[in-house]
Amino acid sequence: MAASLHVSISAETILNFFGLEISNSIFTSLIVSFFLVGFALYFRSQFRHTDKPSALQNFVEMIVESLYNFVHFITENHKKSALFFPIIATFFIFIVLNNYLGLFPGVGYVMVQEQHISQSDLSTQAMASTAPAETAVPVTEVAEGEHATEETTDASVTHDETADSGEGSALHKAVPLMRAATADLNTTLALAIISVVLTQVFGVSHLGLAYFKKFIDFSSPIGFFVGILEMILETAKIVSFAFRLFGNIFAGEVLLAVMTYLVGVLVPAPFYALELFVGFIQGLVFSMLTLLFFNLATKGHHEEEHEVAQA
Amino acid sequence: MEIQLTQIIFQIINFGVVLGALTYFVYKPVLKLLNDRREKVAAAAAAAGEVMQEKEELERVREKTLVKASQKAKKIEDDAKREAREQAKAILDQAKAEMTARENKFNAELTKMKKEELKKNEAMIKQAAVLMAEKVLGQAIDAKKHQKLIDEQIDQVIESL
Repeated sequence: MAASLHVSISAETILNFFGLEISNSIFTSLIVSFFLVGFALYFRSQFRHTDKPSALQNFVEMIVESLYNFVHFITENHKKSALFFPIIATFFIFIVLNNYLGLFPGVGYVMVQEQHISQSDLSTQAMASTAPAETAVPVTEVAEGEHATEETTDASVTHDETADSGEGSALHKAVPLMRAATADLNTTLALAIISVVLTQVFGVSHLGLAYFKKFIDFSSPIGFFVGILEMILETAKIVSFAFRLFGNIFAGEVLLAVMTYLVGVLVPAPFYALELFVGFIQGLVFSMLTLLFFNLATKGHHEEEHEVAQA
Repeated sequence: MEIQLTQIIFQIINFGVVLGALTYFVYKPVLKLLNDRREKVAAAAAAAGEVMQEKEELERVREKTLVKASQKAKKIEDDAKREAREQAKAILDQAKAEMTARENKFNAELTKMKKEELKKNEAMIKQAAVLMAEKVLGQAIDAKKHQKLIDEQIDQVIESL
């Protein structure tokens, strides 16, 4: 079979930049970030305060207005909507674009030699990590099933020709140059931490110290235990956010990789469509949950009671 | 699977940069534009409402004016008709009065002329009658008797007329 199956649960390091390990997922997220920042700059240069916008401006206006209306539908408060909207919209756009970039044809198939082998791989591939970052070479032909590692089912571990010729028989694992950033737990954890930390920040900024009453409540034994549960819940939110997004996207990538490896060209097409849908939905779910948590954190106890009474 | 703090921090910073860029260069200007447009539409709708209200008011005033004008026109028409009738009646009365006056004058003049003519002919008739009587009777009569006879004859003639 021409193509190899590469499945790795963690992102692989493709570059060592002054001690910072740049994984393939960070590389992909950087592409998305550069694209978004570049697009933002380009859009601002083209932006005209007019009633007859260009096609691009019209498109952006449509997306921004839809997302703002979505936020306002939940908050029903223009002040809160204006505060939450940039974060929610950026979460949605950032996650969806990262999800979709992972589905681009060829993303998982352009290979480079890994620059750093994870701790679990060190025992088997200690020599591989000695190659400098600048010598990373895309591997175009991948030998199938020659060297399997513990953590991957990768058949793309190849002999390093330079190592073979000059430094003995060092093994370099060929890894994909790009990987959906949301298929890396570090990225989803970062997004989850941002979401949960901002929830606390908004809660405190709206309710002051009264926000902490839901965590520390000595009024009754039940209230005290509920407070502890609330604290656990906040921590669980991070885990829930991170693993939901990571699990869905990573599972989708594995599914697509396996289908492509097993069947070939036509059969994976419906799965690609499914993954496009999942990518969108996951972005929406993450954004909506964050928005709901923001909204709940900024509502006082009496406000919630009032809403329940109204309902 | 490794959780690396440096990568998490890197991703947090990465997201922060994207958030800042999108907020400053995209969201703020677009939201401001949308808000301005919303206000503009609201103002235009309010203005349109005012114009509609003004139009309705004008329509009411127009209808009221039309009704008033119609009533006034009707009044003028009635007055004109009444005046015309009165004038026609007055003219007719005047004409009748003039006609009557002329008729009376004419009759008076006619009577007067008749009397004058009769008086004019009276002497001739008297003379002719005397001559006729003298010829018929062939006798001379004194003047006094003669005059009395003539007067009697003339009176008979006049009465017969």
